[in-house]
Amino acid sequence: MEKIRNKQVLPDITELEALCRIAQQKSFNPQLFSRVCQSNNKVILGKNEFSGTQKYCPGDEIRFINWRTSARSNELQVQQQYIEQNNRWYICIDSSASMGLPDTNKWLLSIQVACAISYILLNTGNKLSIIFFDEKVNGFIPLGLGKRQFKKIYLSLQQHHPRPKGGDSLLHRCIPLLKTPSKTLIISDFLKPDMMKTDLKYLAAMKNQIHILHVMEQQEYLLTQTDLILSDIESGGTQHFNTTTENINRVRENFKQQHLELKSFCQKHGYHYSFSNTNQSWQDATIKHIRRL
Amino acid sequence: MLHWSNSLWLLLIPVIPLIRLLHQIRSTKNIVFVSSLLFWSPENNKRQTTQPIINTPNKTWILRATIAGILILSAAAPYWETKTESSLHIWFDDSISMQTQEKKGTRTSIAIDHLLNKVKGMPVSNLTIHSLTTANKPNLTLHRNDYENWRAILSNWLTPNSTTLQLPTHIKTIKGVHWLITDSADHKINQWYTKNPISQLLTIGSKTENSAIISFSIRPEINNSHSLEAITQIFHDGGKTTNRTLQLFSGKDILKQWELKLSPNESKQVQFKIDLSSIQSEQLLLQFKHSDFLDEDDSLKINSSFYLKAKIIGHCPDSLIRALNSHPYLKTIKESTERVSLTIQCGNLVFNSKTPTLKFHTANQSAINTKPLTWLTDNKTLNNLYLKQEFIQYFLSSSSKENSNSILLAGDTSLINYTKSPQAIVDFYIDIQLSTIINHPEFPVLITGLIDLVTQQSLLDPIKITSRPANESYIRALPITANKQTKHPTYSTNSYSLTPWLISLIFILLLVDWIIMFKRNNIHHKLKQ
Repeated sequence: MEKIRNKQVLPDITELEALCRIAQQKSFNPQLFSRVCQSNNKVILGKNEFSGTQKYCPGDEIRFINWRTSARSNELQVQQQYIEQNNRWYICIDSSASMGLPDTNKWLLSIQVACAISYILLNTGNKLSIIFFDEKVNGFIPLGLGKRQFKKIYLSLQQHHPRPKGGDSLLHRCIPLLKTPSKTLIISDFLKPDMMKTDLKYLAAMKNQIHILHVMEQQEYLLTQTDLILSDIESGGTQHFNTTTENINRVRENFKQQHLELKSFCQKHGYHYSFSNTNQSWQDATIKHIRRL
Repeated sequence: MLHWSNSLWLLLIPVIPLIRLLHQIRSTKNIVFVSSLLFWSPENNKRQTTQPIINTPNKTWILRATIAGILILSAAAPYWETKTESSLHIWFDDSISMQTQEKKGTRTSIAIDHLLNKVKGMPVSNLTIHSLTTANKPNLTLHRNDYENWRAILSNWLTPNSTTLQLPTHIKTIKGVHWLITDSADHKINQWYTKNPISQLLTIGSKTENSAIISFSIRPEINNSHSLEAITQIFHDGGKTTNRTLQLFSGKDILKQWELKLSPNESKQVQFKIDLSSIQSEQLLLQFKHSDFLDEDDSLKINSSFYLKAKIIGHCPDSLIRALNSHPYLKTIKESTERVSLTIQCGNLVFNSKTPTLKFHTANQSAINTKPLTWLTDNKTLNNLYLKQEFIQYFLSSSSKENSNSILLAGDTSLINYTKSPQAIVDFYIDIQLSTIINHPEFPVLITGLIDLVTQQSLLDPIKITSRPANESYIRALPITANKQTKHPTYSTNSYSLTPWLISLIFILLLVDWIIMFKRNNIHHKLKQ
C-alpha cells in the first residue's frame, strides 16, 4: 500500500483561516460554534474572560443564568460551567485498514476535514479531543483549548496512518475516553456489517451528540480488471468476482444502499450526517458538513 | 475399437495440468484488496470466505485444457476400427457320387468332417450351405453359436440327390468367401469351379472303381403275348477290369443271373426275355449281387404291368363296352375306390375326374351326317383312320369349351373335341347307338386312338424304361485346375479417422474461447472508460 505523506497534504494555517472566515460569514449552524443568539443572528465567539459568563441566548437553560452578573450588566448572562459542558468536542477518526483503500484519498480527505473542523472548533473556543481508532484506540489527544491544542492535533493527524492490513473498526473502544455530555464527530467509511449502528446508539445513550462524516472513495467499486479475486483488507476473506457490468452495477447499488441506510438511520435518531466523496475537496467536505449542523 | 496412429503424442497428456498452473500463476496477479467484501457479493454473501487467499485459476483453463487435450489427441491421429466376421458360403456337391463309400465313411460325411475342422478356428459368423443339384432348395445357414449341432444339421440337409446338376450363375453377386466341396468326378462342376470366384476347393474321395446299371427297359414280345423282351445297359467306370454278377429279381425270386466281365469305361448291353408266368410280383428288380463303392447305382426297378385301368361311369352302350374290352392293354373296372388311369363317362353327367377322361355324350335326337369327315389331330392312329361319312350320326354339341380343340369335323360341325389342360378330356358327340360305325372294325380302332390321345401313350406298343444318367456314376476324380489362391475367411476391418472431427471440435472451442475473451475485453474496455 502506498505510504501516506500526511504532512504534505494537510491544509496550512492560511487555508484554515480562510475557511474559518467563510464559515463565520456564512453564519453556518451556530451550534458548531460557541454561541449564536437567534434574536440578533450574531455569532458570539469566545467567552467572557472576566466574569466567567456568556451572554444568554434563547434556548439556554434558565437555571444556569447568573442573575448577579446579569443585573450588573443589564443583560442576561449564563454561567461558564454550562458553556464548557456544551463546548466539549471529540473527533473520532477511523484508522482501520479499510480507510487506506483503494488508495490514500479516503484517509487524506478524512484527516483534512478533521484538521479543518478542529481549527474551526478550537478557534471558536471549544474544547477538542482527537481519537484514532480501529480495533483499539491508536492515538488520543485529550481535551484541550487554543492553539497549542491545535498544534498537537495537527501533528497527530500528520503522524497517524491507517494500518496496512487486518484490524477492525470498533467505535466503542473510544467510549471510555469520552466525557459526557459532549459532541462527537465520527469520521469513517462505516464499512461494517452493522455500519457501527450499535456503537452509535450506545454513544448517543451516553448523552453524546453524534455527528457523522461518512467518507467514501469514489473509485471503491470501479475495477478495470476482469475475473478478480477480491481480498478483504481487514478480515482477510476472499472471494471471486467476475467483473461484468451487471455485477459492477449491483456492487454500486450495494454501496448506494449502504449510504442511504446510514443516512436514514442518522435522520431517524437525530444524528448529524454528511456524506463526502473523495472527488470533493476538503474545503467542500468541511463546509458541507458544518452547513448541516 | 479405438486405435492411435501416432500414440507417442499421448505422452503429452500429463502436460495438460500445466495449463491450470499457468492460469493459477496468472490469477495471482488478479488479487485485489478491497475495503470490505460486504458489498462485493452481489448475489450471495455466503460466497465470501474467511479462508486465506487460495489462488484458484480462471475457469477458462478448463476450456483451454480441453482444447490442448483434443489437440494432442488429434495429433495422435485416432481412428475407429471395426472388425466384422466374413460370411462363408459352401457350395456342396450333393450329387450321387458323393455317396461313394470311402474308408472312413461316405464322401459326404468325410466332407462334413473336413469342413467342420477347417471352419472351427476361423472367424466365421455364419456358414451358408448351397446345394449344387437343387436350385430351388433353400440354403442352409449355420450360426456360430450353434456349432455343436452343425454336423447333425448338415447330415440331415445333405440328402443324396439324383437330379441333374443345377449350377448357379449368380455366385458373383453373393458377398463373402466361397468354398467348393466336391469329389471332382463331374466335369461340369469342375468347369463351373474354374469360372467362378471360388477361393478354396475341398476335394474328397479316392475311390475310382464303380459299376452302374444305367438303364432297364421292357416291352411285350410281339409274337408271344406271354413273354417280355428286356434290355439293360451296364457301365463300368474305373481303371481296372471287374467281374460283376447281375441278377433279376421278381419279388424274392431270382429270375435270371449273368456273370459280366466289365472293362474300364465299358458300356455293355444285356438283352433277355422274361416269361410272364415266372413273374410273381409286378416289380422287377435288376441289381448287382455284390455292391461296390457306390450302392445307389447298383440296381434299377421297373413295373412289369402294361395294363391301363379304366373306370366306367354311367350307362355305356354294349357296342362301346365291346370295343373297350377288345383293347389288349385296357382293364375296365367298376369299383370307384380303385386307383385308375382313365375314366370313361357315358351320358351327360357332370363329373369332375382327376384322370384323363373320355366323355361319350348323348342327346334326344341325332343328325345324320352328310358332310365329309376331316381329322385335325397329329395322332397317327386317328389320322390314318378313314371313316365314311354315312357311318356317322351325331349329336349337336350344346356348348363349346374354351380350351378344347376340334379333332374331327363334319363340315363345320365338331364331332370330337379334345381338351388338353387342365385335365385331358375327349368329348365324343357321335351317336354310338344309331351310327353304323359300331358295326365296322373302324370303331375299336377309333376308341383305341382316342385312348392313346387322352392318355398320351401308345398302349398298343408299350415300352417301359427306367434309367439314370450315366455321368452320375462317375466317381473317379477328374483333373481339376486348383490354381486359385486359397482364401480363408478373415476379419474385414473398417477404419474411420476421427482426426477431422477433433480438429473441427478444436475450431469450435477456439471460437468459444475467442467469444469469451472478446466479451471480457469488451467489459474491460467499458470499465476503463
